[in-house]
Amino acid sequence: MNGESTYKPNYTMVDDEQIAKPNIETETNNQTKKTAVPLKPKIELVPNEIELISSKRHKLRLFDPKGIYTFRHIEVSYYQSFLHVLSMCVSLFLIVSFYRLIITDSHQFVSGIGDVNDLNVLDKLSLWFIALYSFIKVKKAIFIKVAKFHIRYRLALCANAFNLIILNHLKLLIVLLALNLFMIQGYHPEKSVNVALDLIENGVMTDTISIFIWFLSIMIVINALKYCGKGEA
Amino acid sequence: MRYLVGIFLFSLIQVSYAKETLPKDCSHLQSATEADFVLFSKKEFIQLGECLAVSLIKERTPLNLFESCNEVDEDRRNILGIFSLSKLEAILMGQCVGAINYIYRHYDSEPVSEYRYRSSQTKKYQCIKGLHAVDLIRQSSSNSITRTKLRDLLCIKG
Repeated sequence: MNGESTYKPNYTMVDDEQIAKPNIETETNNQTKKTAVPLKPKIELVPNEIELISSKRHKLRLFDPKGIYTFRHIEVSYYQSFLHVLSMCVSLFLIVSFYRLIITDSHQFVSGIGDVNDLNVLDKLSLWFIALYSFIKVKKAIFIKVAKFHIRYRLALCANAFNLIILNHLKLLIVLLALNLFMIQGYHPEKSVNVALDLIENGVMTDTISIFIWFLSIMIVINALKYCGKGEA
Repeated sequence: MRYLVGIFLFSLIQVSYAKETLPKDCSHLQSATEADFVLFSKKEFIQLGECLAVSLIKERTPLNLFESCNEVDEDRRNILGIFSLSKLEAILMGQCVGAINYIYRHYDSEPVSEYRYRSSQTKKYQCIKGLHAVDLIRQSSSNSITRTKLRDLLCIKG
């Protein structure tokens, strides 16, 4: 009995070694192929497709951090970099002024105390999360090294991320405005748009929806800054 | 350069707000005005609102109780509870509750002191409080309401 029990692990050990050896070899093969010679594609590319890819290589990207990341081996031209800086300035201005608007607009006068904050716990937590997350991600992106042109790459990545945040928030705003207009039609059809918007913004519905809006907003930010820590290759 | 940008951003974000002094009756709640996070000090904010409402009613300044009582209703029907409650909303809720309670304490089963009822001393105020009173104020939908109007709204002479 004792002899039998000692045999079994021996067999498995041998098996493991047999499996393990070729694995290591293939890994090393893969590594060498990745660094030196690209693998032969299983599907053969038609000349049209190659044309498409090569045209995508030097395309100007303003709202596409993923594209910047996938084509990180291709140098960003100075002209594109200039446009990146311009667009980043615009979107940073929009982000800062929007934050400022949220903070100032939420104050309301109460006689006896003065101006009182109207931001609730959820708003504050989400605002702090977004601010801290984007700060950490941008800090990571600043120290990344890709090729000789890493300053331009960093600029491109940050500009695209901020622009994408602004673009997606604009889409979200349009959807919310449409939703508000539907609600005005439904609940307060006889009032003027200003009064009705005020009533809706201060209602139960908005408080309930606000958790979804903040979730979407946070997802937009995370999605846009996803590639900011990556890029070492 | 980095510090310059920092100062610039800081000046953008920094906003100054007008501060008013609290009424004397509420000076013991001074610490609640400085707190900013509702999660830990909801009760203090509501107390502050109640105190403010009472002192404003005593001064006979009109109050916007319609908005305040809407907040009470909002808080009752809200799913997220304290997570969607702000400092302002808590104070406004306190104002609504404080005003209703003050009117109830002050006028309920007190004799009516108006001139035309003076001959017959039997008339007394009968006031309501609680959610029914909140709903009454919300239905009235007047933006500023004085002490006498509020009394006439919440109390019946009978």
